[in-house]
Amino acid sequence: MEKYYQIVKINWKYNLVWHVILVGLMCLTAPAIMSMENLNPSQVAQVVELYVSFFGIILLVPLFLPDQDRIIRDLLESKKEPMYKIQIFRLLQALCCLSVFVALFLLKLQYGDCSFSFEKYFFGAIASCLFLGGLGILVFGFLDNVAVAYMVPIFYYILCYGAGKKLGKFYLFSMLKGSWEEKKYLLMAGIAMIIIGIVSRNIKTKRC
Amino acid sequence: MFGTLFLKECKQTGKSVTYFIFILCMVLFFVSQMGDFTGIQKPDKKDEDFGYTYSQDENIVMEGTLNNLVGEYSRNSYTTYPFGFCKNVVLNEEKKKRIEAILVNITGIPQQEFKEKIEEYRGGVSESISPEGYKVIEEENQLILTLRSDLTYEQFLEYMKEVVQIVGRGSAYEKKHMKKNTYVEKTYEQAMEDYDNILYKDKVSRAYARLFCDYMGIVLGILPVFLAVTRGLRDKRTMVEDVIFSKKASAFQIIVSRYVATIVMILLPLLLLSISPMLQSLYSANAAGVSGDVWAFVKGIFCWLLPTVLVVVSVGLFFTELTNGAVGILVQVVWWLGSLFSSVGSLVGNVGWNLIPRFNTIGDYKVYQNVYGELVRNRLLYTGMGVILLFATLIIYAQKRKGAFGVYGKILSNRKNKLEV
Repeated sequence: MEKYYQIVKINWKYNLVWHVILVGLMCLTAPAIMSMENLNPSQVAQVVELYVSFFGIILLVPLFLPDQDRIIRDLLESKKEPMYKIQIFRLLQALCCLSVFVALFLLKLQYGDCSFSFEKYFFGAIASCLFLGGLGILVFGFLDNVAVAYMVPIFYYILCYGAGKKLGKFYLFSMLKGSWEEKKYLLMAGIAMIIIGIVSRNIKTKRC
Repeated sequence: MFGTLFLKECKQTGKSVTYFIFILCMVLFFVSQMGDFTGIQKPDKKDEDFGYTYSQDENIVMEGTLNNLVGEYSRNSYTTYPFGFCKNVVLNEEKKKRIEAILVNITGIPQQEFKEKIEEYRGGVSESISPEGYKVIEEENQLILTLRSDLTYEQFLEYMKEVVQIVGRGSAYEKKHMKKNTYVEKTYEQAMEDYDNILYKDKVSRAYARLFCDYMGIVLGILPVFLAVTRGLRDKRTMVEDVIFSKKASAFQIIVSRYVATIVMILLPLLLLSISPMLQSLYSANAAGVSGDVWAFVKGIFCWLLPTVLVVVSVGLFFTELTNGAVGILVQVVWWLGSLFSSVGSLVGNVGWNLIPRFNTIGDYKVYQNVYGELVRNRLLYTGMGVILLFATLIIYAQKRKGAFGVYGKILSNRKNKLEV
């Protein structure tokens, strides 16, 4: 148990804390840049899909960032603990932080008398975050390039912003149009991409 | 030396995965936004619909704005879009009184009578929530006030400036947003004037070039930073930083060749992408009996889009040298989001000091003429910013080379923490 605690602690101290601070700042500055009171469901969807979905990119994409340095990766691989276990702990940690921030954000909206279903919007927000974050993890896993890992989900966000519903079941801003079906696909695709990303990263590492 | 380094940098960028993904993103975005080219069509008198436009009539603008203000005042709920997101502003008693004083001044109605009218109107307004959760406002009687007859447009604008100070930025009372209160149907004559302007002033291709610059400006406000950060981090990842530090080439040659190569490699696919809409717009111009401007897209790319590319690449290189990390991406994402969302309310002729000037339409030549000076100043500012950041990067690089920031040359880092890892 002690070693898992150490994994979580080190990841928090050297990797996650800066990303958590950034998301925390985004939450704190939100009331200054947007209304969080008396919003109708469509306005809540706008806030959640255009703003909160970025939390997924910020918290999930840096999953492999600590071992991007070849020397650190070689050191970690030489340890008894398999790499995928370390990555799963990091992922769970990021997911916990993500859930807490999304829940707090939605609670703030609910406290401001916004009319929306907490459960539905929580599900929608998490699905979008997991999809964008998963896309970044997948790219990071295959290409081992942090810039591209951020670039692809951000570009997907731009594409959804511009191309709209042409993206079909994987349209990111469906809640804005009152549709929830897409969120199920986004959630499933997000989970699948995270799994493939971690597996491919570890296969590649072994080959190297 | 500079030429050799420049070619080497171009080759390095050309071979990188980031560059391939960058091109793929540009092509995808271009196809999704400008894939369907519909040529221009001459308006026909028999048509029933000529589209919509914003009224230029100052009286209509003032009346529309006044009625919007009266409605928001009576509900004490003002809709603003300070950063593109909807923000409802609720005023306290003191600010409400200031708005009331402005309304009394511009309508010329005695204060007591004004209050009675508002109270009467409020009594007939009911608010309910629809089954879908939307707020529904029902009015028994409409409240329409008129402006006092001796009020000039300039005086009205002064009053609205005060309203903006009270309500906050991004409201419908800012001069650039006031026209949105006057959305009117286009007449045949107006549609014909637009058509003639596209044909004879814009030569068709210039109108399409503006639209091309508008769309590509969105992606170029963010994507180049990834190329710059990848390039900046490559030396560190491949552990050749110290080897390059020891070479004969000066810091100026290394950084500037890297910078120019990145810019050139970004402009190349952009120029190639512009060929298709350029040919189509030239064909469309020929079909309409005018000869199009062949250089319209090239001018657009070098004068409109290049300043964006310069500053975004500079941000990427500067923050990568400063932190030896991908912080530049986060900085640029925040800047890009702010720029994109702050122009959501007005997509045509929204320039100001925004990183991404918007002109999301074909035509509207008069609007373009009005914002031309603003656009030139905007582009000069970002060119200047790009150059200043480049020099700042040069200074940091030169200092790192001299070993000024420790063994790893990382300025914003706690060395003790690194050793603990």
